[in-house]
Amino acid sequence: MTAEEPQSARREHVTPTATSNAPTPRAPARPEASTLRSLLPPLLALAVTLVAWEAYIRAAEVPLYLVPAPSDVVAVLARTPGRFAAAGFTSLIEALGGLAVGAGAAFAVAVVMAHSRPLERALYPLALLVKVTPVVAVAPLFIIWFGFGAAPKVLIAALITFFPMLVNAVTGLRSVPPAALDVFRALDASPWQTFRLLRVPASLPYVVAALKISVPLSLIGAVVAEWMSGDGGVGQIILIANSSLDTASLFAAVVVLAVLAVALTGAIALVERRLLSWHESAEVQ
Amino acid sequence: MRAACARDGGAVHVPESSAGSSPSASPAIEVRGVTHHYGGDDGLLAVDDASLAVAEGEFVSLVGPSGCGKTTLLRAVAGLLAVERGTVHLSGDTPRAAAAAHAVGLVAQEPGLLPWRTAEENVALPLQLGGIDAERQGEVRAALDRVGMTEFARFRPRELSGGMRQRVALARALVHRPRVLLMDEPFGALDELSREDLCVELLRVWEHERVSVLFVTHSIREAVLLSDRVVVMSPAPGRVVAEVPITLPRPRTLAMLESEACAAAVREIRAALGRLPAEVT
Repeated sequence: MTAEEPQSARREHVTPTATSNAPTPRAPARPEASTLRSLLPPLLALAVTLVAWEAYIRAAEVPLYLVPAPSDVVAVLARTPGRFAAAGFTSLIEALGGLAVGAGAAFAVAVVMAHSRPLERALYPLALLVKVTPVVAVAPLFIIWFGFGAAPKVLIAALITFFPMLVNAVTGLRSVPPAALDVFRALDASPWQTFRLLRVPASLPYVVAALKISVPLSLIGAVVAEWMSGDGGVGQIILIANSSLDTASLFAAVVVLAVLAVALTGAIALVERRLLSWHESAEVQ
Repeated sequence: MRAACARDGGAVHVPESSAGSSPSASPAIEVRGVTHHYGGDDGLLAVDDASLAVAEGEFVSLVGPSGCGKTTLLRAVAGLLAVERGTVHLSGDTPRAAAAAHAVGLVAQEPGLLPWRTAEENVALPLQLGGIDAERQGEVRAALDRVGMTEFARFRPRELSGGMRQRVALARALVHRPRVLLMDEPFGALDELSREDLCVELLRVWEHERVSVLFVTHSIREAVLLSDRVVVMSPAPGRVVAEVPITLPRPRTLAMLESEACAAAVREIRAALGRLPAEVT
């Protein structure tokens, strides 16, 4: 069934006239105010958690090497901010590189699979094999193959982001409204036109969803690879802190990773808002 | 590659220039002895030896119960379906050749608009696929204007009502000035008042364009109001069982639905469908 009501609130006001079944646009929402309101509860929850944590550590006198208080973690970060920033930047670049390589390759394979069921059946088990291979098991191999530079880390991050993008992109490229496809065929659109003007835009909601899943995964991939080679990045800080029972530094490294993941997820949300304002999902944010 | 052909051929604006026999000699649409099964020869027989013709500039409706193969016939004419037996020609061309010449406009029950495009961008699609960039904006505006959607040019489909989406779909089907307009229950998902409005709108547009129309519907009154001729199909397997000429004068108005001539045509069509003894008059 088609909805008889106009559903967007984002439009400027255009007074509908003339037509019999004209829509009545809703009052436009103020995005800044609603963003602030939606951010308040999680920030509050975070603050409460941190305060409770700090209070417990102090009251129970938990030793620093077991669990640091939030203030200890902040102190570590404040002592050597450059070290954490540089490590975060290294891991970020590796993760982004991996995301680009993994998601790019997955989309290319998805295009092939979406166009041919036999090829999909042939390639899917291979893709599944890539997915079920534990990253921890292949990371040392990659370091043997590709050395200690950025390459093995980027490739591990790529490996871990490949499958979510593949599965989503195949579904997305196939999720073309049949009526729209009929119109393209009745106008004798070329395969390239159909791909560019119909399939790719139709797949975007799925691709963005895959990116949301892949961002934290790519960071995990980069950090796991850094554990193995240990020549930079947040993974190296974790490795060193762990071996010297420097729990506060370990927590600080985790905080750096969390900040990176939140920032990247936020960036994707921005992309989503720009690219997918037409999609139903834009309504329920 | 194909887009380039269309670009220098300019076939969209000069429909008669397409290859094949001379268009004036053959009807706009000619369906001869079409038979089609779904799922192979042992599958469901959807259409059985159906034949019909639509003359240049004629408005013909195809009426019949659900599942009688109306849509199958229309899809065959649109080149969306290759039939097993029989032939389909549009002004002497095969359906695929007619599609390649951009001679066909299609409106289905689902508007099939691209949700990420505004109304005007949706209407521009046929011109874009034909590689026509110049004067696009003027053509698009004119098409939107004809269906009364000028004010909503920058609205996305999601922001429009069902009836308005269908108006945009109609503008899109006409923007490239096709020779033939194929409509598959275009108003089937709309409420009755929207249907009436769109019927009037369609009549107005058709009087202006004089495009040949094949209109599939299960609404007998709608068919009578719109058509020069109503082709009646039997329940599955679909056969053409009657052709009822509609003699109501043009231009048509909604008031004609109340006329005796309209009632007579409806009775005749109902009788052909086996819904009413012909003698009950």
